[in-house]
Amino acid sequence: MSKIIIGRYIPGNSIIYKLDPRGKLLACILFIFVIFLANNWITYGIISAFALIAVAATKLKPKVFWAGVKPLVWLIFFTSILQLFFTSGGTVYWNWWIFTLSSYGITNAIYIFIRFTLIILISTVMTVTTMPLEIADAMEWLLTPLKLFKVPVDKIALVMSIALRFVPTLFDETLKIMNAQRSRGADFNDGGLIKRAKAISPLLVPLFISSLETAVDLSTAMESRGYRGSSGRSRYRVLSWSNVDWINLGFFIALTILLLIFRTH
Amino acid sequence: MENIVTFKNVSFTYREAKKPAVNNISFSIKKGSWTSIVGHNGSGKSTISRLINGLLVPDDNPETEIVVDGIKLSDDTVWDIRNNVGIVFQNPDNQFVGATVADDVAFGLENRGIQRDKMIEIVDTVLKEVNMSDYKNSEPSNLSGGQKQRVAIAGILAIEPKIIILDEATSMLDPQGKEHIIELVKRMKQKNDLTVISITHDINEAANSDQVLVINDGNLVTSGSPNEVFIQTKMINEVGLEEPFIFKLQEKLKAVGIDLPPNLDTEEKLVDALCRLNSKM
Repeated sequence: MSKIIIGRYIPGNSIIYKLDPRGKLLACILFIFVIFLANNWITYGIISAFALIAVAATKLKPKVFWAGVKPLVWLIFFTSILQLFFTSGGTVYWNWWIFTLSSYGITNAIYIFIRFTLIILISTVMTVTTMPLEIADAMEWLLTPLKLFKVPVDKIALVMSIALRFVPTLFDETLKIMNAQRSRGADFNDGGLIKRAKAISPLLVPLFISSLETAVDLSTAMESRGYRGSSGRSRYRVLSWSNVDWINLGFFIALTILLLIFRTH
Repeated sequence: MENIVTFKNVSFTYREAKKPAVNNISFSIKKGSWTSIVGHNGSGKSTISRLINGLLVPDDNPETEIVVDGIKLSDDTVWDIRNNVGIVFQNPDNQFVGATVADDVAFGLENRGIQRDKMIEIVDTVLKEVNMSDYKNSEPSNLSGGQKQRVAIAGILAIEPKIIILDEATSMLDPQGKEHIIELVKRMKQKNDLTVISITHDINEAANSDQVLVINDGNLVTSGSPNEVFIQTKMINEVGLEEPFIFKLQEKLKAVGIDLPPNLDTEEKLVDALCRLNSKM
């Protein structure tokens, strides 16, 4: 089980993989804002086309994206159905007690459905094509202005990269402890809520202790390798912004302008 | 040859402990030598390695003095000393800082504020030296324990230290991984004129070093060449250690009346002596 895909990154080498993570993160966040500009069929069509181009550009199997949408399917349907039955206005087709089925309701439900799916698709494109480490680097870059307010961005970045580096290690450790406790008769999958919660403690306590021990060992190792806080450090890993990244942002700006033109007021 | 590490009357007591972990120890280590520190579990061996690079501060005593490469250890000089000392720790998982192999090797260089183009050059060279170039962008969870220790050694070589300390660095590895690491350190010692201090349980490894220090309950019991130390069979057994195989064999042979010359401290010498005996018969 040590080969887990952290953050569900799937290696590949289409053009999206070569984009700078800063550009991707920025576009991903802005997309969520921009999607609220869409308010008619044309704008929804434009933004869907844009998202589908992004999905296609990853050259990954559709299955990957379905896996991204699947856990949220119930939320999407629930919200859409609420919209469907609780919106009044336009032509009313059907009415019973507090439920109404109107033309506005139908269009609203479809809009919400599209909006949800697109946001999930775009964030899946982001996480699937970017290594967690790159995302951490991109986040550090986004946080840089906070240095003005004396936020220790360098230290936060180090914390993030160490946390990411230990995700698979701790996962392995968890499995090892679970197996060790199972071989002594612990049962993690049976019984009611309280019994299961109690069964977790022989897993959690050793895991906490081992994480603390790891932390002590790691800090000793870091210190003996000359780590003395963030000042005066240089950086080995740097991100490079290329022309493709300008094109990426260019596409995004074009999308925003198109949406502003075609949206109804 | 000059001494690179000198301990004079060093004691160290952990905060909650009643007894000192290291009790008034004095010794010196020659430049370019391979020194093994042996002792049973909890005898204070690891504490000594942490005292050398200032991770631990010795108990207050005006006569205490730790000198590393001509610099006396104090609050002001601790970082200069750490620059010259690289430690490979026991657990290969818990000393891997970077998210990839290259990042980890570069960590020490980043701390020293080395320029990026120079770092790239150094990282590539040292990874080639430890034979890990193919794994440059691998994540630690995809490496074996032995490979992680090799990366740790690369990270130390990158900063060009004068002293390399192996703090039970091979104790969590399988016999093959252990052999690889020891071979690698031997090669690097030759090439870069390093001083190696190895804290070890592996008595057979200690038998191949230039100097052995035996520690028992925080006290330095004896020190000297492996031959001088391991000949003291009674003392070795008393501190809970075993003699190396070649010494055990010699003892057994002497017990059955075979007359061996003294000072057979390596396997080759023993083989040679036995062959000579054979030809005499």
